[in-house]
Amino acid sequence: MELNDHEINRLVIEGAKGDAQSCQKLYEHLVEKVYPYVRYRVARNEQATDVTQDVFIDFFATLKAFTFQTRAQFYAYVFVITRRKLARYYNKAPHKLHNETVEFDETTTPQLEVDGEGSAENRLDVIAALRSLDEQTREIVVLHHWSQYTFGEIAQLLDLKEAAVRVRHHRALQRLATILTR
Amino acid sequence: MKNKTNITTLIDTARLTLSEPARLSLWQSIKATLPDAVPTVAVITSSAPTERAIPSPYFSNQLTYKTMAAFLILLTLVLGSGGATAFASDAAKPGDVLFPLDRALENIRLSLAASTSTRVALTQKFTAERMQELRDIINEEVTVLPASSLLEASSTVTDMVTTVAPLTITATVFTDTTVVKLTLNGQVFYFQTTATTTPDIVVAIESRFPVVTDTQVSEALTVVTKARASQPADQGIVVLTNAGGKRISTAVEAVIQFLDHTSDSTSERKEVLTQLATEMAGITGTTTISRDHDTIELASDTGHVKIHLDNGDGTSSIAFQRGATEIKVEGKDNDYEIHTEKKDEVTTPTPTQTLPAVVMTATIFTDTTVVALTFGPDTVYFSTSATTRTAIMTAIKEHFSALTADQIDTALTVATQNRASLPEDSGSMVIPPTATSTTEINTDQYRDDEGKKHDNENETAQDETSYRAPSVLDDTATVSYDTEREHKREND
Repeated sequence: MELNDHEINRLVIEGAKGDAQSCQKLYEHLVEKVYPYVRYRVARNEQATDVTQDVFIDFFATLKAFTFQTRAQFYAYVFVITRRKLARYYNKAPHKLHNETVEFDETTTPQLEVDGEGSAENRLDVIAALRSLDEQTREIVVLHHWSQYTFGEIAQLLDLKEAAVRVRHHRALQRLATILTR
Repeated sequence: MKNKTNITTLIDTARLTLSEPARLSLWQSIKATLPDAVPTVAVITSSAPTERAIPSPYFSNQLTYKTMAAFLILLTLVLGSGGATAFASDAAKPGDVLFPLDRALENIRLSLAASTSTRVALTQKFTAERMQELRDIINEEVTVLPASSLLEASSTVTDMVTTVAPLTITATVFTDTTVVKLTLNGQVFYFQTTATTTPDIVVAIESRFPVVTDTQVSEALTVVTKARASQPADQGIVVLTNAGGKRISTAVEAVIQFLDHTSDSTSERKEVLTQLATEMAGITGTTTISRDHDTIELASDTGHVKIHLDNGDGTSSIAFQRGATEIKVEGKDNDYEIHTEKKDEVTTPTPTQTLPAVVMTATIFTDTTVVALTFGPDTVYFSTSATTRTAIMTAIKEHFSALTADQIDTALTVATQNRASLPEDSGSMVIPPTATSTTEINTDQYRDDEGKKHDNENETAQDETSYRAPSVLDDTATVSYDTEREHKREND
């Protein structure tokens, strides 16, 4: 669900008051950004759903304390919560996962309700290729292509300059092209 | 080779999203936790028609309207507190805003715990979380800035596609201590441990970096033995900014407040914690914060806090001392114990290691600006095209992100030299002048630190170890090393 800045601001205000409809619209807008990133960072769909749920629970619980300024600032706030929940997940996971070695669970994906737009094999190839990038560059690719943030928004999320984000993204595509066309 | 559009399409189609039913189902679960949400699952209602139960993952028993009203008032008061509204979007970090909000929610859970056993279990869980958060913040804020880390930093400046390996670990066993250097995605961390064998070193590493696995540590670890005592250059240079120190003391304050809130036994402990909390809250950077091996010490006029990140057996502890009373939280994983002890003697807290002051000098030559940063016995140099104080400060900040603008402004001295720079200005080998000229070096060859021959320094093609004047269009900066340190490293 696409929203402009004014709509986000209004929904934040109304959602902070407890309006469920406003909260749902915010959820519909943000889940398309949060879930793909979380899903990439955890091993299984169930875990991604759990972490995503935790993110939104905290998000709505703290919405009263949030003051909307810009879209990028809003996304950065959600990103902070997401990162924190992922950190908690890593600390509590029975098997310790390094945040670079995401295990793609091919066996569970067909069973759960995910709606990938390509073949599972393509997803495996892309994820394997992403591992050849350093962590920050990988984050840029995932946040841009899967969470669909703009380069300016990613710059704020990762505390980088937008030019640096663009350069890294460009070089990442070059490297991925080399790997994926072998 | 497929064009960019095809690659973009390949990546885009690998995106995983939730299906419509899954998205709706997830929303229903979230909706049930909203403050005014109407429950969508079966709930137990009381016989009184005015009461209804509100299921929520944050509560272990049902609420009535009366308790829910009290909860909403409490939540509003907590969320409306100064700590929650102090959120700054640009500098937002996980601990700054969410600490007080998390604590508020935890306090509510504790106060609404149905049984003593539930309360005890929750207290254990939250204590472990406070300790882990404190460890995380210490590892984030206490950074190391040795010259070697600049090499890795400069490689990312000149080439955005870095080739730095994700994880490399070197453990050097000296006669007095073992220094572990861990490089993780371009960031360098140092810590010391008493472990001398590979298995013990692996345990020490995993206790500090829980996100790395046994396999990753084993594959990345190299153990080296040196038949000498460690030197400051081996241990890295520990830098703790004022903001970082404040963040650590804030996290310590969070632990104190949590212990204060959950202490319902000895009044003496509560009194000590309450007074300590007041003192820690009043700290504005004048308190001494030091680090020695695995210990962080925070000392105020009357109180003393010592944090041990690793006691050697995987446990960590934090000890609060005020006067003759010491309160110690010690444990591992989710199992922590709190002890209160009376000390016979009141020891005056003294820092075991003071952090070196940073001295910065920037000299603006006609061809470039050379910046020298001295941390204790070590000096590192880099060159930049910046010619104003503001631009030089920005360049310093880019190389040393752990330093604040205030620190840089306080420590920086800028001077101007109406001449071109010379190798000795940046710590490189000094070229002896020829007999015919004392200012112009044209024909002599010289050898750099590694003994490689070079033609005169006015050539534009130079190797990486020599000083290079950046071009007008080149915003990158090269880093050269203090010659003395390079010789020392080669001789080790």
